[in-house]
Amino acid sequence: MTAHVDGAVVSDRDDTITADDFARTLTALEAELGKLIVGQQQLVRDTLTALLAEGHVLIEGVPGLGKTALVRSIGDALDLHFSRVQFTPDLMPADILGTSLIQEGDGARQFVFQPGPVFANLVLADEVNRATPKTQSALLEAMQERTVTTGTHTRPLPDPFFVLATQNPIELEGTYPLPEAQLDRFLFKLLVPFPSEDELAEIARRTTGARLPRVETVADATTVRAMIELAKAVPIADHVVDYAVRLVTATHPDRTGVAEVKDAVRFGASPRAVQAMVRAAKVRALSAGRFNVAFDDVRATARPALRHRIFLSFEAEAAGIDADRLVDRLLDAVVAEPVAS
Amino acid sequence: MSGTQLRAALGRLRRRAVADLAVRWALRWVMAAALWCAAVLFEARLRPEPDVALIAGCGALTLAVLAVVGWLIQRPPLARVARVVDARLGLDERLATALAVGDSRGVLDEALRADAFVRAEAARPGDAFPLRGHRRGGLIAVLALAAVAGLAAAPNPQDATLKQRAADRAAVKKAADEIAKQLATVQGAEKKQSAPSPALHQLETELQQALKDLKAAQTPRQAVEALSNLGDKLQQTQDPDVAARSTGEQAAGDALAGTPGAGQLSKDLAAGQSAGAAKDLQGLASALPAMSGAQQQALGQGLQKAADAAQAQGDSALGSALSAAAKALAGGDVSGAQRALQGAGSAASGQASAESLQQQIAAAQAAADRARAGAAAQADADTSGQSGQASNQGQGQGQGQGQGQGQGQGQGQGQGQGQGQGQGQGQGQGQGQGQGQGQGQGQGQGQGQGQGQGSGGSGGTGNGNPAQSGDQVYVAGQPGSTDVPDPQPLGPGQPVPHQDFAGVLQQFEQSALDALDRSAVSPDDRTLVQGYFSQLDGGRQQ
Repeated sequence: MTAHVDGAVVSDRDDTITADDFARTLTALEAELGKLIVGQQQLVRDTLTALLAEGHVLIEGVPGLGKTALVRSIGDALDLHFSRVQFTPDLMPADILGTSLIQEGDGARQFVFQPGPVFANLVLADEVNRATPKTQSALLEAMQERTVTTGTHTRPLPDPFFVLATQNPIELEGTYPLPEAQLDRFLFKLLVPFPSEDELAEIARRTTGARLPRVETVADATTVRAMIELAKAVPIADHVVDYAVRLVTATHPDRTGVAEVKDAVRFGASPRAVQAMVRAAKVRALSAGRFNVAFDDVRATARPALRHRIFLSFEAEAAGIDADRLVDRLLDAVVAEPVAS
Repeated sequence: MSGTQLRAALGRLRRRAVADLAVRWALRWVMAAALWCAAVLFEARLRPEPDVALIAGCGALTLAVLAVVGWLIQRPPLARVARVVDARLGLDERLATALAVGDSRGVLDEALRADAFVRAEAARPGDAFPLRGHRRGGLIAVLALAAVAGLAAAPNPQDATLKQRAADRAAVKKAADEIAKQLATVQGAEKKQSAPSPALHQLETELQQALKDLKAAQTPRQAVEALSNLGDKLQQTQDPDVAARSTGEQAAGDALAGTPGAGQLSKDLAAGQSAGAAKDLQGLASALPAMSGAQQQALGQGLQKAADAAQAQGDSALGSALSAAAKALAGGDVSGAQRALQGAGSAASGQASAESLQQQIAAAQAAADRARAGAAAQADADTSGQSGQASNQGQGQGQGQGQGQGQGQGQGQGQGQGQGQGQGQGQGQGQGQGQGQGQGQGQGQGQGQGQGQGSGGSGGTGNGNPAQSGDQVYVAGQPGSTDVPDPQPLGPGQPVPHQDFAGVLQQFEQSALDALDRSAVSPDDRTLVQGYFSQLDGGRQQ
């Protein structure tokens, strides 16, 4: 339970946080993660932005780039309950959600629910595209509803609750690509770039010594919750919302004026894209020390919020066109502030 | 920090935005007005347009009104100003968002308002709405104005035509004023009349018609035509017997000198004071019974002499009345003499009215002549100007005009220009300059016979070569400028004043015969003309 008092969010524990605290905590968090994660500043920033925007993240990258390390480090830095699920084809929904087991005690037998790994603040769904659609669907439903229903009993998931799913874009054999409707549940889709040579050298130095860097706790779940609530309170002007709407509308081939979109896009982004951009833009505004959302905030969140929501035609995919390129084209074509000229 | 304070801070920026918009609209107006003026000036170089300044001014004024309306409509609201300032000063939508938040009390609203207020206060209006943003528009406006100034300063080939038209209008107006003045005089005289005078009313009607025609006249030539018509009508209204009667009255007055009892009557008649003479005659009639027989006899003898003198000068009415009075006195019939003298008084009174009317007609005729002379002079000047214009434009027409002296007569119709002296008759329309006697208007190709001498004008080929008796002389017309439409020939559908054939035949005949008398015309031709009019006279009598 939270309340607003003089520009701060007060939780049940009477924890308050100001905008300065928000920016300071976020900076500290990034610095702490930077101890373990070499480079990848944008990935870290975007991941934390999605987290504070109360959204889930789909991280795509080849194995070995530190995806798991990133998620684990976030769990450590935030002092959140972390769990990891390695998705495999034989993984069943109950393996994630939990199951009821017969327990004997005091001379009686009873069913006791054994929570699955999804009952954590921070869940790493590793290689989520390797599980069957049935299992994927179970996870994605939990992501959306933030509850787990077994039998007739619905159980809430911990608060805050974040899922960071990873998938490998190269090995597609034996995988079950996430359907479009389920991709839409992720606030961001982040791409993990291959490190530069300097970063590789730094990785080698940090991870091959006698002592591994240790991530200190920066904030707890209560603080994270307060940060989330504060971010929600950031004002956004109508014309900025309108810009996000125009961007999303422009992703639809039947509504856009951008020729590339007409040619290359099969389906445009859903309304969740607008929500995602606005929520993430608010976090970005606060992290920049502002109390309002700017056009730049919306622009900065366009790529991660739209790239998994724009579905290219077969011809476009065959021609090597990717969604990021289209988003960049949209950002060029859609004027943010027409009254300024 | 309240929303009101923030709005106040933004108001400073808005005032600058409104001023900036005013500059923008002013530059738009300058450009549009310059474009309009340039178009008007360019058009004025193609066609003569006397009201260039008025048209350009009205257009510019209309555009100014539109610019003001556009400025008023486009004055930006505070929210728009905030967005513009945000964008131009890189304020990341702080001002617009804070303004939209208003006085709400959300978690971050107060902090946002304070932040926006500080930045709005720090913002320099000149940075958000810089004057240098109008440099391009200003440069275009200056260039447009320079182009307009250049067009306005450059000589306009239509200036000569405009000047001529202005002079034409002035000449026509002057003629109309002349007639209007005369009309006022006639109307004043008519009001003074104790009884309505049909003749005076007719004169007023003619003057009014002439004034109407003059106001409708577009060229001096049309004015001349209207005034000529007036002159003709005035001439018809003249009574040629008035002068004879006046002479008769004077002769009667002289004859009465020394007659007892008629001293004042004698003086008034001799002085041509018909009105006074009329009263004197009435008084004399009243005084008759009081006279002695000898006085009556002496008066009768004097009256008889006056009657004889009046009748000898053609004043039969006065003469008859006086004679009757004389005879009555001689017979001792005093009452009959009284009636006769009263009749003579009536005749004198009628003469007084007729003289007054003739004076009015003469004055009107003089005014018409003056007006016609002025209009004709302007028409002649137009002709010269057109000739010069044709020369300047190099239309391939002949240059120069000959001057010659000669006599001749001819008839013809045509168009053209020429100068010369001579006599002739003809009908037609056109322009020309000449001296001489004759009737008609015309120029151009003519045909005539005559003798004379002439020499060509300098710089041109003259048409005044010495002519030999019996030679057929053709005077070639000189086309005017192609810019000036040729006058329409007389023909059906044109307002040609109609006159009765019998009314003009005598005048026409007299003019022709006068011309024959003054010209070295061969006897055969003279006989031919005389025979022609004799034949016409015969036809009229039949």
